[in-house]
Amino acid sequence: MEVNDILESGLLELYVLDELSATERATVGSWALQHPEVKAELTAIQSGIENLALSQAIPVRPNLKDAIVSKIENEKLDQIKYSSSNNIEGGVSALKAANNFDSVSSTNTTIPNQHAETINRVIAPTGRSLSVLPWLLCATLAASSFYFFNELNKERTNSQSCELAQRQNAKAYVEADRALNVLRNTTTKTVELKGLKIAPESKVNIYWNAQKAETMLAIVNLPAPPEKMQYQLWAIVDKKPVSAGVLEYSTEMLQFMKGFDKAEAFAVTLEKKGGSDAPTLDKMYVLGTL
Amino acid sequence: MFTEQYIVEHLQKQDAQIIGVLYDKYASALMGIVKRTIQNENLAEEVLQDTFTKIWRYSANYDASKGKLFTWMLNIARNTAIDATRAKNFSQKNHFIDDIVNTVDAQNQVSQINPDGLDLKDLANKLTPDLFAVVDTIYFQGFTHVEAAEVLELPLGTVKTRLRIALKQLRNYF
Repeated sequence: MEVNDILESGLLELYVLDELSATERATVGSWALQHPEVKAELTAIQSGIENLALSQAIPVRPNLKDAIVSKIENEKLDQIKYSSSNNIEGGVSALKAANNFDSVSSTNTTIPNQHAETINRVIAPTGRSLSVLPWLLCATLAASSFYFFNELNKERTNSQSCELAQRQNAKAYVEADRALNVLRNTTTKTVELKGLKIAPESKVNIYWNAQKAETMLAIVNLPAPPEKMQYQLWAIVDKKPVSAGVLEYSTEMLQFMKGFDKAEAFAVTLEKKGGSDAPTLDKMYVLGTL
Repeated sequence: MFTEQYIVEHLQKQDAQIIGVLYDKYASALMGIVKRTIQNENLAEEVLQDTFTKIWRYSANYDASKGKLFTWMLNIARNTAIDATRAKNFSQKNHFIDDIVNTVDAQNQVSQINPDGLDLKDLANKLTPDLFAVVDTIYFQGFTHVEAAEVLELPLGTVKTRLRIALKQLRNYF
């Protein structure tokens, strides 16, 4: 693309407003490295938007400052406690989900704790129509955040179990919030992957948001995988299969898979544990095209 | 004064002292963004609080080579605000064109508090209605450009072009 076409494309503005897919973001990023004009334009757009924001500034009630500062100081205390007692893996995936500039998360996130399992059970009722999911999720999220809130307010009893519960709830909350964001987005598509000859009763649902490059998966029905084998999700992108990660075998959860901003089809194959580099086509269980 | 670099450094070191600095420097601008989507005072304050909490929590993800801190924070504020309204009211989209008119009126009162600023009506007057509608929908209302194309009933390419022209024109006014 010629520099001038890049400048006039409108993509740079969308980049600054964090409106682009992961691939588009990477493309703009590489343009910025190649062409000083693009970099300068990005800076100019940012300054313009900042000035726009400043021009619309609204004074804030002075008391709010103390509230915010003390809330964050408390959070810092919690962080110190968390990191001293265990890892903060959940926080890391939360960071990725919330990152505005970084490339999109490709982590296959699952929620390894009891409370989250409960959430998943509620939000992924097998075979129920998707339309009720956001509401259920919303209700569960509200309940879970209320619980979390209460837990936080319990005068920080130093009991280990309480801290564990807090941490697990925080993780579950972040995951559920992310899932909710995908489900309630009007551009999210439901792709039904239907059983092939090998197991016609099989069914897997994909909730795919191309724009945000988020892919979620729910196993509706799949035979239990043999020992040392694992199901793997593939996206067909430009006619080529690309791995979207291996599946946790559970019909009671929504799992985040690798995100895609474009795909022509999704399929699940049975592979050796840990997944393969290329799909074993005669072990394809379900397939859904767009 | 504190430079952006200094602020980023301390934010990423999770030095809680920096929050006050961050607040003094950016709170009113972020509030401007939040209030554009959320008129309710209490809810807006809540969203502002959430915005600062996210900025604090996710600061490690901020990458200075990819954009300025302020722009990053503006996007967080906008997304938090839009999430809050969508969580509250799933059908918000259907009313938003009326809202543009209402909020333009509402913001006129704000201009009394902020006499030096360029209020939204001034802003609207600087642009043709076509261009203003695109900036307002995407920048202030937090719709994606794809959604904006849908609600404004415009081709995607037109939305992109108008956004570019509008932001470029606005640059001249600051």
